[in-house]
Amino acid sequence: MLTNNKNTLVRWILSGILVVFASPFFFTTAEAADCSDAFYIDETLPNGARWDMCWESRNREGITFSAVYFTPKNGVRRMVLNHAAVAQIHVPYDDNGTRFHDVSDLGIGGLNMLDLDPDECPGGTMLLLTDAQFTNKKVMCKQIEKRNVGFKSGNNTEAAYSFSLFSVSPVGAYYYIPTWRFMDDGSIEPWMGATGALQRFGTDQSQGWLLGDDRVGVSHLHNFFWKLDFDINNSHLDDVVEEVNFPLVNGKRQRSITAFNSEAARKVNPDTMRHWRIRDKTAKNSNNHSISYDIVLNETGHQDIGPASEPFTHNDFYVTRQNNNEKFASHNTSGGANLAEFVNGESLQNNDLVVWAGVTFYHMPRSEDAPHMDAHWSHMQIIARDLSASNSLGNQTSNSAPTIVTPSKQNSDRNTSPRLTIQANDSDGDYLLYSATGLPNGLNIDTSTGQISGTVTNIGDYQVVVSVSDGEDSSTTSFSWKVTESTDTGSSGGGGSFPIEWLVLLSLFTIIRKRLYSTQS
Amino acid sequence: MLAANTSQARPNNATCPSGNTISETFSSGAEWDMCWEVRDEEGVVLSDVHYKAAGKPRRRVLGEASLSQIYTEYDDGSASQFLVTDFGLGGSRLQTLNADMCEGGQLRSDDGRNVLCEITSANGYIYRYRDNERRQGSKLELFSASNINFREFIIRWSFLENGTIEAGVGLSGKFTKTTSDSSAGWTVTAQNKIATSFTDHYFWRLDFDIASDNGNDIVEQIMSVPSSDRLTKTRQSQTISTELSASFDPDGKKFWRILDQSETNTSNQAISYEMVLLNYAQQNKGNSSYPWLKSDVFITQYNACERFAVRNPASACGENVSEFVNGENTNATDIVVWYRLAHHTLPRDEDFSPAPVQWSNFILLPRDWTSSNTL
Amino acid sequence: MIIKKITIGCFIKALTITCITGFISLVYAQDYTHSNDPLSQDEVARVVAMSKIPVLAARSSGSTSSTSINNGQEILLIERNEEKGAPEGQRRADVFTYDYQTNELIQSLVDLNTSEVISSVRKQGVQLPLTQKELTRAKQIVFDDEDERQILQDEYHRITSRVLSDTAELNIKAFTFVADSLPNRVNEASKQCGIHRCAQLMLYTGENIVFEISPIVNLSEGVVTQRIGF
Repeated sequence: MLTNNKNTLVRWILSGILVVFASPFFFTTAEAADCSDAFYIDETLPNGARWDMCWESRNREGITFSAVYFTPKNGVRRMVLNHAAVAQIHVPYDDNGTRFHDVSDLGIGGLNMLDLDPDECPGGTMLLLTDAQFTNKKVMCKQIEKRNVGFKSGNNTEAAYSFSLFSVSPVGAYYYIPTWRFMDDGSIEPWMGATGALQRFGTDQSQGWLLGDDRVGVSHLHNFFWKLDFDINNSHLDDVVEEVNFPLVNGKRQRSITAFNSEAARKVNPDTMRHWRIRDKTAKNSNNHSISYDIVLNETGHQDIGPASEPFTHNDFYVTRQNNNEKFASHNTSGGANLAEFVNGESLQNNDLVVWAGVTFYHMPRSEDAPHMDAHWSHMQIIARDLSASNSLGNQTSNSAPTIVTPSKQNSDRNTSPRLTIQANDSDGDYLLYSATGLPNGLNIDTSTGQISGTVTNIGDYQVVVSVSDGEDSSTTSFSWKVTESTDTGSSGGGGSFPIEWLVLLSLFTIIRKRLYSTQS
Repeated sequence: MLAANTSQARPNNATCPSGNTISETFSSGAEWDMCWEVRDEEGVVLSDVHYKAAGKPRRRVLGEASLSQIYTEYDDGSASQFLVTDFGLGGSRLQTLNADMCEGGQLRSDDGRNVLCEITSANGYIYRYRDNERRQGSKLELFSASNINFREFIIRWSFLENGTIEAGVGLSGKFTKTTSDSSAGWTVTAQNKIATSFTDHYFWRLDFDIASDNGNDIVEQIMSVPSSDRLTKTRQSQTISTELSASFDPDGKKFWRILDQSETNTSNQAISYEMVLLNYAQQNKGNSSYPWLKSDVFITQYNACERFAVRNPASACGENVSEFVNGENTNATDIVVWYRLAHHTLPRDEDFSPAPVQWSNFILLPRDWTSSNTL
Repeated sequence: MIIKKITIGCFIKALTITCITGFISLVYAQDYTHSNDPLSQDEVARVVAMSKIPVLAARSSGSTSSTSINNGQEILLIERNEEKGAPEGQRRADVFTYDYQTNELIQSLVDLNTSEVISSVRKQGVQLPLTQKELTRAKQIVFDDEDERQILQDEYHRITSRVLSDTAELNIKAFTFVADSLPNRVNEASKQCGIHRCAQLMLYTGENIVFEISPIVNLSEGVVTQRIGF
């Protein structure tokens, strides 16, 4: 009996120790994120939002990211992306003279990634790469960006912050600038810049543009693809990807959300303003709303459906089962050859899924593109939806209602034009709108300024109720307004003026008296 | 409904009100200059916009540019609004800006109030090429803000050192409208109210007046038509001689440029600006059958009374852009291009309150304005 | 977040608990490579040793004819193997080798912790970017070909008005080339590209002006198969 109890005791003690040793206290956060410090990014933005993640450099994909976590100010740290990477840069030319697949066939990492100079990273920090090929190569620039107006309602405004990470890859005559922006509200924007010099020149103006230097720059497409392995809230089996449409039904929009149960390839649709959303099935914010991200491909004006031999260009958005071998949208080297082959009917329910998105930029050269070509940029948006319970950027936790000053009792004469401005204040600085009921006839209130003006037309005792609203809360007060008949003596109001009727009678009496007495003399 | 101060658009070659010029010279020698004014309806309106490329002559691009209407449709079918003419982006709705909002920049005032922020700032890479030649760029940015029924619209213009113009609207403020129709909104906040979703159609009025003569501009429509096997494309350019309503066509990569009939760059090419309209995914054709929602771009001949894209006082001119397009000549004349950009908002918890700014932008790009890259 | 498994050395003696914390500091020793970090120089060297692949002897620029045909194998790429959900501490490498004798890509999976080659697969029709050595060979093939050399010299002259005396001044970049990248444009000789290992060359003058001619080189056969107008 005693022995059994001792064994139990030992097990209990050991299990207690196990818990202690596994606690975060014994890890540096880099350890917990499973990359060494040199490959760990931990950035808390000035307004308290935090991103932390690992990065890696690979020969073909260039810079990739993994274990991307977001922590809103005073909020919970949650994984957003398990893995994010550029999946292809596909550049077919209008004359079919070449069709490049830059990531898979050349590589934008390794030797095809620049060792940046400090002036290319103004105000920023360099991230250094030490791997099998390089030692302390300055491959990535991190810059904190401030937008003076992150949100605005009147004077209720604050700055918004993000940070960007970019690298630069020479590809032929081009330089590509893969850039990732991480915003303070949990949103992410993958961007791609293209600069350098035009790659190809020809003679046929119908497939290009005659430049000022007398060469014909051949027109071409840039199809940029990103692979986004979302694992919202760390769990990788309970995300669901949905398509959100707003079809017009009987003159109004009727939003419809359809979950993808199996792999799919989809296009944008302006008529239904289609976008996509990835949602965690279980995680909710403090309003009990599902945590999710909207995937918005607005910049699809140059959408290009390519030839049959390039089926990976036939759609804008793909969702597939996670597969370690599926890395490149085209010329993939293991498993399926391209995105269209990755989509082969596998079930997504309770499975690990990956989103792929493509954005196209069609470049018809212009004279300004020679001898060197200024950067053109393409991007997509990954926008947090209900990750936070409210606007997490501001300092206020809840709205303060505006306060209104009760005007004193008003008196006006009929046919005069009084002016009264309602005084109100909002400690958040919010824009205010005014309203009033019960005003004397002829008067109106300016909803923006709170000024009451007009010409009073009717006498009476009015009880005016004025309200001011900041869009969320309002304040109301009331006051009385007396409109009285005005006296027409020219002297200013009040008592003491002789009624005009009496004057008329007196004058008449004087005339009659004069007449009576004049006949007697 | 506002009574317009004047139903006329800005007359050509008007003088700039005193104190209302803006100009910026960049370190490269490139320069932008323009005039601005405030109107009750359109808010801040730019005019006489000139670009001088480094080492090249100064030339006018736009005679006038404004946001000429915002048409808001609510997904639940409740009453739509014309924000520019029903309420106005100017007047008391034009917001007073303070130094924090304009950090690093300069506030400009109108009628005793600071209503415009002017900032010149760094803009990242202009270019990088050859082995190691590179340049960081700069831009001149102007913005104003107008609050209409608690939604706040930030109207922003960026003028880049290389002649690129980027214009856009940032939507912020508070989304106060709610509905009982769950398919026409999104359940938000701890109160679980359904915030109505909506589309804003931004109608931009761009009075191109290329170079010294504003009456000799030409519109060229350019398409790149794919072959049947889609391996090649063939460019097709045509002059648009008559007023035109047109829509996006990603398949044909259709775009328009406005060029000058006579002035050229040093390689004798016609100078022009092109419209780079990439916003496509939300470019819906509205909830109703109004013809002025069915096209994306309206190319018209300048008409002084054609001022508002919709709800234009119809005395001597049409009521809306689709009526402005009525067969007039657009070849070698004074051109005005109207561009409808549709932006849909489905509110989310993060938008309460106020909503973080969401931008809808477009680009005007010089094409052969200079014979080569001048930076 | 993956919780690390920690080996705990704890024992109880006379109701006193003594734990060995030395274990933990070993785990965090300086040379520990974390799962997501790229392969280190040391790791790559070990992979090469493990792969037992005959590495191509370096070729001197003065060597004669048959340098253009490669009878051996070439290591194309060694990179960290990405396996989502792998056990903590797993370090594996993907090794891509091209077998020029059979025109096959060999993809091997190597485990750095166990020093084992876990799997090896041969496939055809799949290509990876060129190595520096292959780029040099491609250039050699082009300039060893009298006709090609002449055409490129003419092109050089057209661009610079100079005579090309030393090909070393040219800046050359190359993509791996597969025939299905260019439907309707590949000639008979280039159709093998994809099965064979081919390169598409882009040449630049010393001032970085691009040649408007791009040769396609079949590295497996050691010949120029086509010239694409640029």
